[in-house]
Amino acid sequence: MSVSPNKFQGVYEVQLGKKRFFATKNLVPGRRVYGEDLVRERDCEYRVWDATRSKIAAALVKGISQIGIYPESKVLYLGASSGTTVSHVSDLVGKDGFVFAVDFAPRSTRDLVFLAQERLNIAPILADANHPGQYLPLLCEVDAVVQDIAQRDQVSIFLKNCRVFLKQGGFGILSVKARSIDVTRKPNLIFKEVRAQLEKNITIVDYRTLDPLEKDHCIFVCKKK
Amino acid sequence: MKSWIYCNALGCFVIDENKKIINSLPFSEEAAVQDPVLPEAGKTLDAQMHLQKKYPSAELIVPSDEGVPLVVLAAFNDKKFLEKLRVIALKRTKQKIAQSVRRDALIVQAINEVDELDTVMNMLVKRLREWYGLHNPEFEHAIDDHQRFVQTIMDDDRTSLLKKIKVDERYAMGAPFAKEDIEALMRCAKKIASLYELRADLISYVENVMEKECPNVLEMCGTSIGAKLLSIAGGLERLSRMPASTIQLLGAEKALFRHLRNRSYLPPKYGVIIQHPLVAKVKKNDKGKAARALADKIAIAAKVDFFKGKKIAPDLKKQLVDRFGEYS
Repeated sequence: MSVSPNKFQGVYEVQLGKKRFFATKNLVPGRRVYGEDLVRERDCEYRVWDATRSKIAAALVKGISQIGIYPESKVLYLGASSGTTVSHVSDLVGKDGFVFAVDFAPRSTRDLVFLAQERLNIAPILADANHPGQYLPLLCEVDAVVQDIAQRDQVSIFLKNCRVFLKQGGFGILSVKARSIDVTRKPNLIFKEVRAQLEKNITIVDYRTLDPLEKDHCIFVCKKK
Repeated sequence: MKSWIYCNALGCFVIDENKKIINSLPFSEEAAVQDPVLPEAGKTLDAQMHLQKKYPSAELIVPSDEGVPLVVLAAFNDKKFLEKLRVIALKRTKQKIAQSVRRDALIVQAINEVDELDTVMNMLVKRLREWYGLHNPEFEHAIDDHQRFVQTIMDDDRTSLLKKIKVDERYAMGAPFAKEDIEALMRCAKKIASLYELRADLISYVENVMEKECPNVLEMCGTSIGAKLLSIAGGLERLSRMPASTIQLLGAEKALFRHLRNRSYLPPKYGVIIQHPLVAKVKKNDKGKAARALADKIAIAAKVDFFKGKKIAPDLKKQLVDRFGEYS
């Protein structure tokens, strides 16, 4: 077992037996969030980042060239759900960073609240990402916008939020689920359209399809002009 | 230099182009947690007016979906603001979660519990039948209805049960059970019988809640189908916003999407409403028509219920009866 830093600051790689996993340094040592493995080395505790449950981890596995989130970043996370990925982003940005975690479903936000009570760098917000005005008074300018919501108009929601909250030169990470944009059409065609729509407003840095970790998903990393 | 007056959850602030806060009137914490902190368009807070008088050249900005100048938001990047924002966000979110629970959520939970009970009871009864079958296979074989089976084996012993189904005990296949063996079996039977009671109680509870929350849907669909529709739709509000064509197919998602992906599969004609007596009654060729008409009426009923309208279900029912004939 050995832990080594990854090329992205705040991300680590853990060797467990023959397998290599990504991991983040646990902000609240001793606590698990979703049943992930904890690895201790030299007074530090790391949480293994499950690539089948978190799309950012899946993008890392697929070798994405930029994730746009750094230690001390302020991040707006749309579609936080119960906080699986949010917990890793919270680890990554560390105690000097901050995560605004927005979700629309009361049930999953309940779990998010429990997470936020443990971690001092998460603010849970129950609101509709389609109406940034609803949560604008609770936010500051952010360094990165992460979006993982399965909505038909997810791209325009993403662009809207980037326009309102993202600082110039900040990164936007959009995970697209082709099946929720249109079940009947080929995912590749949909990704192409998404690219075209994004490129009009924002610079695309890199993108990766997430097969086979997530079927018919694609993650885009963009930079605000 | 240009400056702005901006109110957020923390208070009212005057901010200049260098992301500097020139002046501020912070809210008390209680005020911040209450929602109308945000001046809705047009409604100006005292603090805001006060600042406006002091800084007449500053532009007043109101939070909206269009956003505000980023310079203004950037003024709050400081850690001390973030800590306060987090506390307020936590409190507000907790409050909102508490408020999000409507009574129709109870219907959904209760009917889902009934479904789980059905699964569990089925499993338990099947095991009980196997077990009892060692002792009295003839009787176990003769009774198909689970609930009646559990009830009767508790009431009578093997001899009288065999007499009931007219089997000669001397030639029966069952092995004799000692008293303690029978007792263990009966303890299980008793528990299972109480589960049947629980199920009946839950159903009547669901019916009571629906009678108050959505009387029209209840009368149109009956307890079980109505509650299932609410459960799949995710509550009365969402059901009331659905078009009839969606309601018609609630519960048939798998077949619907199979058809949408590949048109060589036929589209489904009905979802959970197939169990409705009207759809069950009509001839095979008319089932689609009946499902469509029924879904129309359910959609109307749901809308009336959500906006707390009058009881119109009898009229709707009459229209269906006129078209398809009497159903129970």
